[in-house]
Amino acid sequence: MNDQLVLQHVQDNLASWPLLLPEVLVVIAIVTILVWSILLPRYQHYWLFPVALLGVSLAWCSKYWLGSQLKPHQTLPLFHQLLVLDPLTVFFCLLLLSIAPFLLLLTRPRAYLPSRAADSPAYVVLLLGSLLGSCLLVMAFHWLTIYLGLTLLSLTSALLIGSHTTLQSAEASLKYLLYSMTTTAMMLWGMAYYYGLTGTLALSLPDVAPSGQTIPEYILLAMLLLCLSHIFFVFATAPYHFWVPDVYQGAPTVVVSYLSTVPKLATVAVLLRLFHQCLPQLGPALLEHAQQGMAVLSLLTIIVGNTAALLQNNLQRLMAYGSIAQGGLLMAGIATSLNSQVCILYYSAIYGVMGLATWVGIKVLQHLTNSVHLQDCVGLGRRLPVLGSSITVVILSLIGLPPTAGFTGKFLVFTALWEHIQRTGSPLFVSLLVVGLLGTVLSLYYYLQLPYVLFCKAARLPSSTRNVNQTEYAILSCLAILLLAGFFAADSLLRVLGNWLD
Amino acid sequence: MMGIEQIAFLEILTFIAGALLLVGLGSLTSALLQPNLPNEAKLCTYESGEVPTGGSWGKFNARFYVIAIIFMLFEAETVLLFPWAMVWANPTLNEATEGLWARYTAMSIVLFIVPLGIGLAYMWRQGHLASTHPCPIPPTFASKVPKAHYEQINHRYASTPRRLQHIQKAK
Repeated sequence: MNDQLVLQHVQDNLASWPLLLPEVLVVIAIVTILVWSILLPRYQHYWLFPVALLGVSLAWCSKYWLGSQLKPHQTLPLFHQLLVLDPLTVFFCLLLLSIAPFLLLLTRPRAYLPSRAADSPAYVVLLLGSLLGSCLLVMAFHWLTIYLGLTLLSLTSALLIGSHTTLQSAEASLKYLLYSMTTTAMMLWGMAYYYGLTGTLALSLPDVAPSGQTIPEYILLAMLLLCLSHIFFVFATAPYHFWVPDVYQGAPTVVVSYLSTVPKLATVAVLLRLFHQCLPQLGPALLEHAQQGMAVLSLLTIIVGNTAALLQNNLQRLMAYGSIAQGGLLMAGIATSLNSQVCILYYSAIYGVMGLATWVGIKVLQHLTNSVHLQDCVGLGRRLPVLGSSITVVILSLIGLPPTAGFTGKFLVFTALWEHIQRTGSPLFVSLLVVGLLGTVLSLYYYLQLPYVLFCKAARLPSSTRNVNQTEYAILSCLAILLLAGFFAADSLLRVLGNWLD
Repeated sequence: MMGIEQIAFLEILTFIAGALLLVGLGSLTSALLQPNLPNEAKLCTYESGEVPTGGSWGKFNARFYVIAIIFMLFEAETVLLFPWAMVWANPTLNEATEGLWARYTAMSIVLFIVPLGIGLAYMWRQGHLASTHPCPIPPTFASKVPKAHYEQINHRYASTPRRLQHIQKAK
């Protein structure tokens, strides 16, 4: 190797470290927690969460600072384009890092954790590790770093799912692990093809093989599908969605609120990067076909999610299928062209808030009624009006009805779809739009069941003596207010987002 | 003409084929050359010098998985350390960067090993390394029959060797 080149590589790597400061801070928080618990294992519950919260908030601040130092449209490659720092990365990392404190606060009440998990810092360490994996995934610009981030994320998720000492939790964890192993193997298989064909694992695809021949398009598409299989698994896209209801039912509810937000948003960032930055460089034909493939998958996802949700009366399974359907719509947004990026960023932020709010709501209901069935929540809204109305706001937002941010999000995605149809006239996207609208109509039925039982029926059971947990109550109300604000301040939010990206 | 990537795949294939070939040839040669005189001691499972109890296909206690994971982890570490040492001490790379290379790679490996050590210390502290010692829980059942009665029965039947019991009964 050229002497000058080696020196340059090492110096470049050294210069990249300061730009990785937020992630390094999360690692420092993890190491601090571990070292502290080795040296002073007593009084863990006093310092565990403050240290974790401090680490996450410092990471948030440093990420924000790094983002504000970026010039418009500037893309900083780190470690020789293994990672990349650009406005998109900063947006998603900030989103993930702002969800994390909620998750930490939700786990704070000791009563909710199984005795063993509460006494060990492993839970917090795993949560932070998973967050780290998600942040790496958002920054990844190379298949190796994508693989690294995804593996870190899904392994820690599997452990988090099994952190309850119940049988269901263990079963859910094993199911998640087996599915994730299979899809990881598929992804590695695809990556082997990728390397063999292109001679690199960098995300910017060269369309010419090292031997000088052009790679046939169908091979590229099949390879892409294989490579993306683990991402689709984490995102719960239709053929890879089978784990979702079982895992969401068996896992601790805090972990579900994590699973339905952080990893999914991280994979959205990867898909966005691929579909809006890398594939367009390869010419319009390949991009169009990839978008069509994505549209077919999102069509399937919307149909499967909405129809299966109709049949559920277990709240956890209902919301699980509902979240699959929501994800399908987000994918439809990603499949449309470049100028829809702001809409997708807005919808994914709303998606995160809604996911969090849904599961906090379910947790409160579960705590109050000691059950996860719809019938047992009868009349609760009348007794606790604040709880009832916050849950109703969340449900309205999930359906996409007007005074909530969910409406704006869905409206933006449908607008992006409509623009795409007008430009390309593709019948596939027309059917996607129709199915999306029909799905929204179906979701009216299954989502509105919950507010209906909460308010429209008189309570049969004597009022329970259990108190509402104040932290959860406050978080739920805050999120509901946020969803309302997302509707009324949509214009200014979109303007801020637009400025951020341009 | 093949690109460098296809050659990389070929190298991996050569490794796999080489491994299979070496193992196969080795076992074949020993099978051809060795005298075949089995006896009980030769055929029994090797248990680090202990007398084995049962076959090697028996069930193992699931709590050994922690030990297995730690073993794998440190094996992976060793696998990484050898090639790292080769690259770290590479004179051409070090001359090209005036020693910066050695410092940078040393930093990387420290960042790799120190967290691993912390993890080990954490497991130790949590008691996962000691988990192979079973801690039996003494039964808390309180019998209504006084202990003396049991001891009486034990004493009566223990005093007679088993093979004489039926003779005693016949009397």
